[in-house]
Amino acid sequence: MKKTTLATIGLTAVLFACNKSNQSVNVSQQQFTSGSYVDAGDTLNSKLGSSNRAIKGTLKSGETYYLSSDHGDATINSGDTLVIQSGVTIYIVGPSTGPTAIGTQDHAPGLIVNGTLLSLGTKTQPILVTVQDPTLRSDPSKDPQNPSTDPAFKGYWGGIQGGTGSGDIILKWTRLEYMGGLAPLSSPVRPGAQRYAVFVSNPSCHLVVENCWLYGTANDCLRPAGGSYEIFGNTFEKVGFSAGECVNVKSGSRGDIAYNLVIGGTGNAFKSANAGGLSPQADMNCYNNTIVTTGYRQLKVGEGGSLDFENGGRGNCYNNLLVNCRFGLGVAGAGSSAGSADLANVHYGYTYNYADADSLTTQFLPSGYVTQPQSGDINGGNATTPGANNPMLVNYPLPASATINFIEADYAGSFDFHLKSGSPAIGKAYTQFSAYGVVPVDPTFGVTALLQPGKDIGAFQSDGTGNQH
Amino acid sequence: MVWLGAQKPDTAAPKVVDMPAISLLGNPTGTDQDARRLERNAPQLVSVTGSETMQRAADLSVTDAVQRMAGLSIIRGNSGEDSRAIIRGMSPKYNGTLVQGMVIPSPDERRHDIPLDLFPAGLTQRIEVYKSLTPDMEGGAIGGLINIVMKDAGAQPFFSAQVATGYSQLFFDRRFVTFDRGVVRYDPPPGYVSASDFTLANLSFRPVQAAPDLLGGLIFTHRYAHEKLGMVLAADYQGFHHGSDGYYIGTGTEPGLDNASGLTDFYTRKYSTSTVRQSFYNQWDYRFNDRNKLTLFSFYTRNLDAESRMSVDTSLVEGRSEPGTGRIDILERSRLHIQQIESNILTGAHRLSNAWSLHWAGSYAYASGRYPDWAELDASTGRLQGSGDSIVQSPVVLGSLERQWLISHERQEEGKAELTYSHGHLLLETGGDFRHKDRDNTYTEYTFTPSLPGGMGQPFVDIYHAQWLGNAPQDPLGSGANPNTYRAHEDIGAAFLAARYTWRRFDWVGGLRRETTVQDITSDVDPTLSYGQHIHIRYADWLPSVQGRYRFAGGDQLRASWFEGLSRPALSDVTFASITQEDYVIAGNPFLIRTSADNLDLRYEHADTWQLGVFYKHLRNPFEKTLLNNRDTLYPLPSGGLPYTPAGVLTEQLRNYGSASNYGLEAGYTRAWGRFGLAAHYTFTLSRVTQTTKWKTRVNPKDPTSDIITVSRTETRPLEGQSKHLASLSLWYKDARWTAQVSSVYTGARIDDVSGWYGLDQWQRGYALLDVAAERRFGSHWSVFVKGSNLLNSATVVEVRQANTAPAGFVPGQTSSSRITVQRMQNGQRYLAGVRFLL
Repeated sequence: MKKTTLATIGLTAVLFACNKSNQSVNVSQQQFTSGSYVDAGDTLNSKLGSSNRAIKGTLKSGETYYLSSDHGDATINSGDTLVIQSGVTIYIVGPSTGPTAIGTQDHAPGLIVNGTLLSLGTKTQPILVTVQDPTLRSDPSKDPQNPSTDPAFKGYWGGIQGGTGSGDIILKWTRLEYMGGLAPLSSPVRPGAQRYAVFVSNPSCHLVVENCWLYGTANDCLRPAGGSYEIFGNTFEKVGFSAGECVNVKSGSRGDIAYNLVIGGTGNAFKSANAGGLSPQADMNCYNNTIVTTGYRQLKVGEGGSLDFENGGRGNCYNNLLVNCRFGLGVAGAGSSAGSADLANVHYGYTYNYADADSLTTQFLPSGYVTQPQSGDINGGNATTPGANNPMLVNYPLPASATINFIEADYAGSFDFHLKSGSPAIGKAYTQFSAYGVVPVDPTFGVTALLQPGKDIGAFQSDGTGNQH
Repeated sequence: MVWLGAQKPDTAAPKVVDMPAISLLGNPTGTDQDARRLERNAPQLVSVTGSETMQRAADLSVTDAVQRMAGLSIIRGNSGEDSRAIIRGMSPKYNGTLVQGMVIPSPDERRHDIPLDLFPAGLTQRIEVYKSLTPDMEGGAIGGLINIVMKDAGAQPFFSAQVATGYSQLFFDRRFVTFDRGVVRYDPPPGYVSASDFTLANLSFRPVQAAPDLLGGLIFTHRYAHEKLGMVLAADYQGFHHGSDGYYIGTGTEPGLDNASGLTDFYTRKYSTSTVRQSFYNQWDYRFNDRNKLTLFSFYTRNLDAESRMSVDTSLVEGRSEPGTGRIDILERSRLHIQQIESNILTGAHRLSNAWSLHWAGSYAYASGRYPDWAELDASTGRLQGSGDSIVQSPVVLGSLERQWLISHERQEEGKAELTYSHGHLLLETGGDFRHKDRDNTYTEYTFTPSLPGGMGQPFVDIYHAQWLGNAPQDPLGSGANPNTYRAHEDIGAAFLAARYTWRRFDWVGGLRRETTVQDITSDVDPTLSYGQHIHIRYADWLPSVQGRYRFAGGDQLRASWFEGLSRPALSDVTFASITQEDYVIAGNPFLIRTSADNLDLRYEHADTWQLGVFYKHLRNPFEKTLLNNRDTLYPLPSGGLPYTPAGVLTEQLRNYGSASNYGLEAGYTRAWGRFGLAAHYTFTLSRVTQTTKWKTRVNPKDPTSDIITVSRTETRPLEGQSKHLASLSLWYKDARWTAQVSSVYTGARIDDVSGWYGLDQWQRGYALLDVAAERRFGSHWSVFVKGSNLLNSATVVEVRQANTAPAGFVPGQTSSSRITVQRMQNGQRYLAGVRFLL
């Protein structure tokens, strides 16, 4: 992906001092710490052979830490904070083969957050969490590859699991890979089942996922099942083997999802469903996202394949660019009360649908949903001719190859999803609404900047704002 | 012990001078006449059905007979099996089941009640249903106590054998769907498994013509050594096919705004079940002299249900734009259910002197229930509206597969003794009882995910062609170590003191019983991660009772009774067991308090002809299914930084409520005119329980833009399973050669399943059953009998009493705009014909 140079956002404070010689002085801030440093090279979920280590303090910038698949989850206890400074690498380590290999049952530790987690990467020094053994990783040179054998969906570790009384989870410029390992049977959430990559379940906590790369999950990637969330500028790649959403908003959750790129999601990219009985109502403000070849691995026909409001979910959905997705925006509510979205409070429009096949263009308004064409839509109806209104991406072949296998078209590779000048998406977006802004703006404890709706449809703005990947 | 003679040899002194001795030895009391006499003479309120009635109706199991008894109704499983009794509107959790007067363990994986169809009618001498309790009886029965008394050795040798065959109309009309049950592994594969550790043939289904049913039984009783040694040998075999056809509508775990029923799926379902039930029974008694007697009783039954369920699931939500469209799943389930009960009882009766006598009993009993490799194959397709009106069907692809093993065992040892002193019109009794029960529960599940060979999913062929991701379940160690896997034991100790006194025409029985309960549960929860590995529960109850009877000169009687009863939660109810579904949890509750109740009865009995009674029950701490969410307290235990454990997502749990009431009227009439006879019962019942339910509303109901939230709301409803009206009517004809009976049972509307959501209880409509049976005797040894049951092919219809707002045809199976039909099943008529030999 093309890297766009931008004014530095994040942990570097810019002090502008104008004097006669026009000299600028740029002093970087001290990195945020909490408690004492955890010894470099420590195993986060084990100390002297123990399992289920309680971890707190600060992982030091540039150092490497480990999560051992031979031990149970690492836990940030209630009241404790774990800070991950920029440039930290966390490797999942353990046997690469055999019945106790990394990612097998009882060998996929996660990070349980009952306290606060601050993962504070920067654009120049992102944080990386991945499996150490390169042979266990998905080889990008093999893309496109069959998902059944692609290690991306293996679920080597259990991801980040927020408890019912958790504090905030703030993830900035962090690359998380290979999540969704099986939860231990003692887990209060999904015992024995594939974990969600990042899960929060406390309606009064904050979840920020900003400029992160979320690569490879077995099931749902981000699941706010209770919490105020801001999900800005991320790249979701290879999410969900045959079930799961990139962001699956449940009851008790409210927030913004904007400027994200999704490629090869299994089911929906973003979904709002008011299940679980928590307050407030499931609410997503979903705008300016680019969603590509998503919805093909979902086994259940009709479960959606891009954006979805159902089961009492509410929210906004504007300015999203959908490229060759299995289904368009779905608003449930057909026939009976069954599974109906909160129709009075779902607002949408300015959706840009693009597809190369008749079987896809006839599902821009998905069958069985009550989605209506809206003013401002581009290719808003099911009568659209395949290939019409090519969005003109900088480096992504459209129309797609006639032989493309959509279930394998799940990798970002060297594609560039920015808009070429002259793209029909430029300047067509709707901007007369705002980000919810449910999390404070703060370089450490909140969202770095609230990203308001952009004027171009999709995640990549022609003025260089939007998604920074 | 006051079991109606079951353990009372005639050597024991008559307990009340003018009360006739209830003889076990001289009277195999299965006749109608004896049943009436037992009812009349018992100190408690009791209803008795004897073997004569069961034979006249050609009953196969105790269930068949129980449903005709006053105040009783039956709930059944989907293909007619797994039946339990509701007594006077009180669901099975409030009742007790005994065999030969002793508590037996349950083969159920969760409940402590016993499926009554495990007991063949052919081995049963009589069924006693106690509706009031004396101090010497188990206190764990608020609704009532069912005692199954097996056949006994009379003075004359007795031999009877019968063989019969039958067929279900259902399998004249369609094929029976079978699978290879022989390959099923009874235990989960050990260790770290791969796909090859699982059998395939039990998920390969084929339609066949069902073989005719085969049923047979024999019983032989004799007394040897100058009638000192009595023997009963009996065996019973029932192999039959049954099933049901119908539909079911899934309502999901959450309704919509204002609790609009969330109808999610329409399933057509066809059950085919093959049942093999083998029972053995023997009894030895020895009368040393007229003062001492020992009896050794042993009963064993094994019931195997091999059930296939063929379903087509049409989603009412996903991709459904009009009838005929949407996601469709083809579901094929195979399930074996093996239940075993074994009971061994040694009793002794000793008359120590003219005034003193001693009765004692010791028992060892065992029960197990097992669902090995319960699995459902899922193939999914969709019919989506494409361009214009065209409908595009996607290829049928393989879905994920879960295979689970549920295994429970209960072992029980019990000892009790009772000492009686009688003097004139006064009789004093004291005694004690101790029962130890061990239970272990194992639950293991494996989940297989289909691999994706390319294209859109994996084309479905059959189980033999299915390819699974990693060629193994995603959880190759299974899910053994969880809160659903636990070991528990329960100790119940009891002591009582009772007195009976007869004064002129008054009989009084009263006294006090003390029951102490200790329950210990150990689960596989890791104590470093969670509380609750051990649970220890202890409580004790005083259970007083007093019953009186006035005998009028003409033989009429007026009875009054008051007793205190209790209902203990089942062991699985008080574990931390937790079943997690997506966004919905079902959780146990160790803090559940047992229910106790005051029970009042008044009954007038006219000779042996009619009875009229009223009853009133006041329950304290009834426990009911309840939904919790958000910050509702799930457990009063600190968790995650909070001083208590919140429910979080919607969680279903049994919770206590202050009180409930249940009252009604029972009327019975029995009469014979020469060769004709009639028995009729009618019961009217009303009950009320008030509980907290959940309601989906807007924060400000007048502001349609405000949030939808889930709040608590109070709801008052009848008790689960209580019908306002119950009735039964039997008419028979009997002469030297012929016996014929027509019987009908009506069960009024009742709550089939309580919902934790306000107004969404599922109600079963009232229904009537009609059975006909006839027997023709040839000479003194042979007879031929026939039976037709469920002749009306009565449907089980379950409804939600809420306006039906779906457009016509969108939700199939609907007949009314004022209610939503969520289930309709029919079992079909059954026919039976057999021959009996009687020596």
